[in-house]
Amino acid sequence: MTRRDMLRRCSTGFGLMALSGLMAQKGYSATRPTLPPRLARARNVIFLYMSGGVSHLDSFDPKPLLQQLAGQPMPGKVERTMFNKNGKIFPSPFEFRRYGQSGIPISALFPRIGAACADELAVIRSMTSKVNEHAQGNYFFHTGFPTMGFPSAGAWINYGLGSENQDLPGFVVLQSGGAVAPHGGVGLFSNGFLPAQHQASIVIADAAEPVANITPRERDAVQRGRLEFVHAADAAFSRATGHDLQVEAAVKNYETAYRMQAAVPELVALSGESEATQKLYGLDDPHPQKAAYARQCLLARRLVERGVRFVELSCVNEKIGGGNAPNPWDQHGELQKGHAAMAYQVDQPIAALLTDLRQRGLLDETLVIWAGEFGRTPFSQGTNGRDHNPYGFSVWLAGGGVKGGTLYGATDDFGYHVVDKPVTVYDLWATVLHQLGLDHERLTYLSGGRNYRLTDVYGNVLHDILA
Amino acid sequence: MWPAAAAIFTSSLLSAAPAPTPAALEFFETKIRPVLAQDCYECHRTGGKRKGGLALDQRQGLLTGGDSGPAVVPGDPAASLLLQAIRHDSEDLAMPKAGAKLEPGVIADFEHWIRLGAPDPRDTPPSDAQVAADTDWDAVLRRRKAWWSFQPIAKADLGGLPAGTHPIDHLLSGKLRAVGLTRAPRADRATLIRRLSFAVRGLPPAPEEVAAFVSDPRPDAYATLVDTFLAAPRYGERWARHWMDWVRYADSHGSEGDAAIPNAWRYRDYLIRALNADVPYDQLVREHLAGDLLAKPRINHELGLNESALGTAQLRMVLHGFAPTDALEELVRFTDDQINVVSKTFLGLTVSCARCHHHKFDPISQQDYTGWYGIFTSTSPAQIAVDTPDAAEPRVRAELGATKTALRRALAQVWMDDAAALPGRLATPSPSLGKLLTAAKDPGDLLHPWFAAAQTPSRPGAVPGVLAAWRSRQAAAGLAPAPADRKRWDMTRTDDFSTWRHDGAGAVAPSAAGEFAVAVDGGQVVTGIYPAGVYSHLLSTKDRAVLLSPRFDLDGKYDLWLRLAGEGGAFARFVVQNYPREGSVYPVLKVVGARRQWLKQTLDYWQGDRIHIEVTTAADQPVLADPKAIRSWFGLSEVVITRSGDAPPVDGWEFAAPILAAAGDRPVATLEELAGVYATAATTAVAAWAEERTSDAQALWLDQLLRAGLLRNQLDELAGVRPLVTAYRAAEATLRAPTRAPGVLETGSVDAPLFARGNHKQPGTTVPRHFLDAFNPAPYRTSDSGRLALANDIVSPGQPLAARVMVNRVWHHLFARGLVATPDNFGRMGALPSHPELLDFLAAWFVEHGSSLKALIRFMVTTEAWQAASDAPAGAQEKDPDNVLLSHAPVRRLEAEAIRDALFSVAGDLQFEPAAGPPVTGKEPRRSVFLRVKRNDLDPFLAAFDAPVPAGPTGRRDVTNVPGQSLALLNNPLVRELAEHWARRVEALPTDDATRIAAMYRRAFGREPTADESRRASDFLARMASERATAEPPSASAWADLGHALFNLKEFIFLR
Repeated sequence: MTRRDMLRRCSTGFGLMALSGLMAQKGYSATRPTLPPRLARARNVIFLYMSGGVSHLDSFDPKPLLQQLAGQPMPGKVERTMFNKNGKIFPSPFEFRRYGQSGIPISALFPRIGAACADELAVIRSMTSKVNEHAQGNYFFHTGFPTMGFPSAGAWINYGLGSENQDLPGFVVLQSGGAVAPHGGVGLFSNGFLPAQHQASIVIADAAEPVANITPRERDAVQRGRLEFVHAADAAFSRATGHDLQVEAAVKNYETAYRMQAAVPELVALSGESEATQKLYGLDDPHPQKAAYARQCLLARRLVERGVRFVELSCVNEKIGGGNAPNPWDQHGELQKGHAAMAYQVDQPIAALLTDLRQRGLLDETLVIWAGEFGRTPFSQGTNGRDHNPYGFSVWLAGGGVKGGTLYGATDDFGYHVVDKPVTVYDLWATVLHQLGLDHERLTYLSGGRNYRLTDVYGNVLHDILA
Repeated sequence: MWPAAAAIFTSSLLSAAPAPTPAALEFFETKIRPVLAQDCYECHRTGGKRKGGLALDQRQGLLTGGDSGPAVVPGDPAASLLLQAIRHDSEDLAMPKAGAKLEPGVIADFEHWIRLGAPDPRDTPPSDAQVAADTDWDAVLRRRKAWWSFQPIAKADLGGLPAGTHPIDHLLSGKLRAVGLTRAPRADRATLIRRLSFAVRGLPPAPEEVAAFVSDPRPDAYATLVDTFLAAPRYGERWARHWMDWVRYADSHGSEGDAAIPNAWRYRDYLIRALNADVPYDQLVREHLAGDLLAKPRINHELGLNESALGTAQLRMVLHGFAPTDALEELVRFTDDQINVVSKTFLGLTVSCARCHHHKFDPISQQDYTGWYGIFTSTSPAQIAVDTPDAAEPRVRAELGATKTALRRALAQVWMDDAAALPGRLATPSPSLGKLLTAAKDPGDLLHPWFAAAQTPSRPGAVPGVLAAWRSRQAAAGLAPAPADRKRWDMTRTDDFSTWRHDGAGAVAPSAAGEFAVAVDGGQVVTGIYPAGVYSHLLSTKDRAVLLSPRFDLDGKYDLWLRLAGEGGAFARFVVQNYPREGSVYPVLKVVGARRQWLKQTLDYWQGDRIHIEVTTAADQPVLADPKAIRSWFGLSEVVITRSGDAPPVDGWEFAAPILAAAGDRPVATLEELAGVYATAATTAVAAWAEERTSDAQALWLDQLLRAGLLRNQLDELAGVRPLVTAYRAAEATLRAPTRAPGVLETGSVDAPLFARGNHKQPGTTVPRHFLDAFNPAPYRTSDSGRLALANDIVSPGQPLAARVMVNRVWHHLFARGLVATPDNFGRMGALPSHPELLDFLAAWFVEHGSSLKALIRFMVTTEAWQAASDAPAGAQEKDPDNVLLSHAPVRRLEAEAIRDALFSVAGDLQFEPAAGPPVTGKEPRRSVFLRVKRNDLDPFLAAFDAPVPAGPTGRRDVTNVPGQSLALLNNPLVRELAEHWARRVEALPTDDATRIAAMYRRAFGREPTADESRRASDFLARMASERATAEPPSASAWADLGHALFNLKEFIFLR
């Protein structure tokens, strides 16, 4: 096979990405980043995206001072807020407790994560974002740039590592319970300027047709009959084009598609999962949103088992206090009620996912990220909500070589601005790539005359949170 | 001590070598040193980063080398690592790292220099000052300007062009011959017409067209076919979509909310018309930047459009964030979006890369970027009118004005009687007036005295009490300190009004008190009598109006007060840093109320930002516009900005003034006496109104009388004025409602500050607006934004990029690969031209032939190269595996739109009319160019086949192969439905199955089926019929299965 053949074939679908091993060989690397050999601690990523902006003050960053100053005006400079309805200091209505041997404080919102997994978590309390608004914040968090048009982290990672499964895409976004893409739309999961096989496939875990056009509209015998006819005719056409590589790849693509028609439903049906496992995740929960999110979590584990590189989960809307389908955590009002409902939805499924991954020996090689696009203000919006706060908030990582039981960085006594070890989105992704064996400064792609990176021109690996 | 010792060692070594000649040193100074300084020192400098242990800033550093050994072996290029590195011989050692590969000429210079013995006078590392001089921007610019694409277009040598040979074929054949290849023979006619039809029209040829062409015996059959295809409107639809890729066409702005860009589709229709009319390319470029500023715009009389102005809509296809709290950052970002598109699309340059620093590779400075930033920010996003100048219809307007004058006279006569009759009407009110009298609770109501008196019948003092209250209220208003104005615009004064910008036929000047508007339908005559101010609807509520205040910086906390009236959804808002959308902290006032009132907006939040005020009719907001709002109006009399918390401007109950004046010092004890005062006041006001010397107070008073029904205003009670009203309405009805499109309005020329390291919070020195230093650094001294000057510079005859870039774009779409393989980038990070001589020949030819795109396409598709078969000739796979030399036609996959259009076309469903208008969804049987491009919800079928994400210019689409494509063609219900439609049409043919099969192949592939194919299809039909027969319940026909199968063939989506 000539180099040109390789170049052409690598622009084919992920069904052919078993070639990725070949392409890492010397001489073929022009299409892929040249990467130094590096020890990869993780193989897969599960991204638990808390869209809308979960409050750090009510989850992982306790601030006793807020209790003392409850109801008083916020001292000092108040940054511009999204709604400019700034109220008084608003202490968390949720009690914190210390969990695990590490004693990480976690609020009453996440008792199961606390009880089962505190010592797995590396909580970053000094996360920052450049953006104060959902869509741009979502783009920034997913791609390192605040607008559409750039590759999502999942796409970059697939570009860097390739997929391990012939029949499944390497980047999957899960939805269920009516969940939709966060503000900004499906462009958040785009391949941007990277080859299209790196874009996410959206799998709707509880839909009759979980992937667009995946369901044959006729009996298998009929479809097979059609495909046989097509195959014969295509063979002749391919000959007529001198076995043009694009044509040949398109022919093979139908085989992949045909296999996917069977593989995807099998996956989504959760076949082979015991009742105990399903119960562990909360699939039996009477709260439909929780059951829906539990389905995503269990499916995430199944995808990771099958070698899918990057799985992103989508929270389900509880319709409280400003939270809508694209941004369910966005409690500009009714924070207590809204966050309680959202946390009830995800706490058990996430705890179960971490537990299950651990029990199956998958947690070591699976990096789990829990994050929203920003945190929320220490002062109220109106009387009982919180506005967006990109100046300091909390995210956590677990598994994949992360040092569990870690607290990293700090916000001020109000939980408003970062005062210690500020972390950017670039740092976060630099760290994730590092754990996957990728150097964020060398994972580049030339587009429009410029070498782009997931981390733009920034980013430092957070070695302190790594084991 | 070691460095010193090394230096001594070096000197002694060198002294053994022959001293370099002056010529050799000169070579080093002019050819080598600048490259080392500008491309290498950053990482390889003594005392600097010294990556890999290598310093290239002194002779010894080159000789000793770094971790991998000596960089240069004098006299031995083959052994010199430096040369291997800059030639990119191995990927592990490719320099400069993360940068563009050095030009071939430069690499050759290095090779020559090493062969010379690497003469290098640098005994010691250069001082900082020396390095600064060597890497000074002027020095860098000088060197970078030598890049091929910045050189004048070279005249091609066509000597020896054999008679009858196409010049393009001639210029291509040299390289083919050089490698010993001959071009493939011409493709057969069926293949050729299919290729041509998709290339020119984006559609498969109809079977009749194929049959006619295949059997056409005329020698010019092909040329005729080309002309026919180019002349049909389908051509514009196809090529407009290419153009839309370049300017990232979209119908929405993206981000949260994904707000629609109102009327964006008019730009798409403009492109289709312009391409079908073959408007010269340079004209189109001017229109895209400054079509609204052209002295002689292109006029479309048939549609009544100023075509040129529509081109500027591309400036508005930017992404807009939602309610950004940093408004300036948003302005910087979307202006960058404009600069990115204009520079890449029309110049093939990445000017955007010079936003934070000078360009890393190309001769583009941060000053260049800032100059462009100044140009584009000297405008305001808007809906602009794209009507022909004659749409102003001055004669109709004059007639309307004259009718109004007559109407005023006629009404004044009637109203004098009404004024005199006031006491009687108030004494014995009609039922409707009675209702008003008993409802006049508000002390500010004209009829309040009657209400008050009715409440206290036992107290005759009620009447003087009310008057006294009014009097003291007025006095208090008069005495109240004027608000501590930060700014005040009195819109009744021409002086103040003229500091604002206005657009549209309405609100063009302040009008005096007493102006009125005539009802255009219904039973009323007059809709209102107004105090002085600026009004949008004095002739027609169809008139559009945009008022823009000057921009000003908020240096503290302020409130904004607008004294406004309006109806029909007119808008008022303050605009922060040109941000055009609505959002939480970007409030918008919908003006509601025919009586003017003070409306307040708090500006505290935006302290530190630059704002302006914008008041528009309902369809004229840049983004919020309601395109369906035909009629709306506003009137603005005053704008005041006060310090936050200061007393608001007060409404002084001016309407009471005429009454108080009429009452004078007379005691008014009873309602009867008060009615007499009313009559006096009314008579005085009507008389003043008749003579056009109304005061504000009188206008308000008359308006109140009108609303209370105390002046007659119903057509059925005003028989005398009916003919005038009828005439007015008839004339008004002939006024055309404006046609609007996205665009920008000029807001004056403002040079922008350079943002240090791209940080908009650190404005530095002001940079004059100008083109590009590499071509012409002269500042634009225009009084407008400079858009037209920029457009003229881009297409000026001496500027080589515009024509090169455009001919390359056309070449790319016809030959599937540009002569420059990176159509959007002709800089150093772009590809080098495969046939530079041909590229320049085409660029010159294009300009010489009137920049006609149709002529250019005709010129290219009539070459032997384009008509060649796609079978690779012997030796081609080995000698030219990527077919860069075009020994044969490339096999290519159809674009997303062509695939979708082919599905609809072959099924027989495709509708060509209407060939314009608002966008539709993917289910509609219209050509794909008419599909809505909603940024957050892109059409999934088109997206699967690589339709671009509209974020920036896409000169070259990806051609990917993902399972989503196969799944769509296999299982998408729409594809199946089209197969069924096709089947129904085929089954209806009154013929046998073999003929039906042949008809399907002709339709899908433009050719007859082979005997083998025919037999297979027949077998397939039988098999499907039997499968279907056993299915429960029995479903679609086997013919649909065959149609679906043909859709699934690679031949359906690939062109040979």
